[in-house]
Amino acid sequence: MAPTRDSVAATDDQPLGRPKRPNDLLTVAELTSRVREAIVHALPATVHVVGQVSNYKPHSSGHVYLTLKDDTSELSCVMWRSAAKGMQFKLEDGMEVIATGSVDVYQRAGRYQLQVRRFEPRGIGALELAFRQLRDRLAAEGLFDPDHKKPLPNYPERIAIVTSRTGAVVRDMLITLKRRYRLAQLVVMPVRVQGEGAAEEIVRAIGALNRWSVQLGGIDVMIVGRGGGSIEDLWAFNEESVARAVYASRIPIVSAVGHETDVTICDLVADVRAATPTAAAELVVPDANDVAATVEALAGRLRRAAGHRLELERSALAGLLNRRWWREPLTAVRQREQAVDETLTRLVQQAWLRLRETDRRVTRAVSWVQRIQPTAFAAKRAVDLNSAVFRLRHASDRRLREAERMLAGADRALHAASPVHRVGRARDGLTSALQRVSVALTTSHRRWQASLEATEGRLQALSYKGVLGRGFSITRTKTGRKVVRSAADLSDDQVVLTELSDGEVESRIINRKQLELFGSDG
Amino acid sequence: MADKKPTFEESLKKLESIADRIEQGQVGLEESIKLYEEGMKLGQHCRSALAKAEQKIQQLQATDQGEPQVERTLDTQGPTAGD
Repeated sequence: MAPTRDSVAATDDQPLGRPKRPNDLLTVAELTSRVREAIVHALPATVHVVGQVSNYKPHSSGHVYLTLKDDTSELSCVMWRSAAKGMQFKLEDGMEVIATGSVDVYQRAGRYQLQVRRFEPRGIGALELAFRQLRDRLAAEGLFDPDHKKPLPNYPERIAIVTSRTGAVVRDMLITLKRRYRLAQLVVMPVRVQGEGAAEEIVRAIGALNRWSVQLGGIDVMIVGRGGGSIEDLWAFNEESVARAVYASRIPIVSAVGHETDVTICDLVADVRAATPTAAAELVVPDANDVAATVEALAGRLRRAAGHRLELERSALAGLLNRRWWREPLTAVRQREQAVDETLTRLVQQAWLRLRETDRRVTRAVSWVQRIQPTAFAAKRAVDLNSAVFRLRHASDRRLREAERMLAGADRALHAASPVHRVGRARDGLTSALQRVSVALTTSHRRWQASLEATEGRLQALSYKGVLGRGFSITRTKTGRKVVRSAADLSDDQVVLTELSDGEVESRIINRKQLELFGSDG
Repeated sequence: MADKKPTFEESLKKLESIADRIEQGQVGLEESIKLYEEGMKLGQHCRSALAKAEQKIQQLQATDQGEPQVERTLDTQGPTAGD
């Protein structure tokens, strides 16, 4: 090394015609350049450095600056944009990392720094760390919330499968689905499941199936998965883009990636996680044998329920038929007959009562006529009256007999109509017949009562008007029209009215004494 | 879409609700008989759907642009045929 450096200095100094300098005089740039060369030559092209991240500064340009340090030293580090883009996990201050790169000198600052091509977390793998970081971030965002998880359909009509077109996985799933439940139609969407572009294909497939669901006849559930492999093989299912596509899917998704022990971000976001693809196939469909058993159980329940129902109705009917009404239908008819009889009796009693009352009044009228010594006219009136009363009585007797006949007829009709349902009609007929009879009786009763009262009035008038004709008169007070029976009833100057056979005179009392004398005389 | 025939699940659910209704005696006798007949028909429909089901498998083309393209359709002869 040393000779090289000497020769460089010698060649630098000799040919220039500048002011002479001592051989060991160097410019800053020269020294820095020499230091850079010395470092570059002294160190291997690639170094691995262990340290703790501090002063982590991702710049807007995309370059990343940080310091690696340990207990005693610090090392400036830079990661250029092109390398930073490939970072699978996110650096954080305090993180123990292994930085891989080469040492170079930043001439402008005269500072040596490590140009990092790759960082790896110390203790766990980079992918593992990336997984943890993404998981924590998405969890905080709520992508794994149980509330967001959609229930799987019980009896899917159409199932989509997003997986590799080759390999045992798709075959195993199809066999399982065929064995368990042939009712479901299957839609297979082949995608690459590992390597470059796998995540993009999975994302596109999930999106396309959601868009096409209707055109495909309605997809009820989707299985997204692949068989087992290394964490690198499964990595597509840990990509954030896949997680977001699964989260956004309207179709419920069962995630089935790798073996039982492999848990991917896709598993965590999915509505249901299946341990393996075969388990997913078992999970999305029921077993046709179980379904058949369910159908039979329901049919059996239905049969029993209907049978039970019929039995209930039958026994209810038997109970009804066993009632007295059905055993002795005439009892009800008899009861109605009795009610009719009672009504009839009351009606006849009332009619007789009215007739008796009429009779009494006629008899009284006749006795009045006899008492006032009727003239030939009055006698004739009495005879007329008697015959009228006789006619009335005869007529009302006839009506009563008629009514009784009608009632008897109705009664007979009622007895003849043995089926119970006719009783109502017979009863209605009877009721209206009774009403007609009652109305007829009342009307005629009123009519002859009015005629009787007129006759009575005339008879009473006759009784004293005849006397007036013979020269008697009746005197009444003008006020109150009270018949004057005694002189003591009157006072001087009182006005009286005297009724004569052909009129009435008004007079004033002049002398009561005479009247008293006259009265005492009589 | 609008006039689709009932799915298997719908038939099964209806059968169940009919059994419930008759069991609970919520309906009249005549209605019960009508429902019983309907339920029995549904049961028969479910039975034959299960017995006759033939799984149809459509494999879509990997390209997802525009309309879905069915690359091939397999029947129950075997999902592995052609692989």
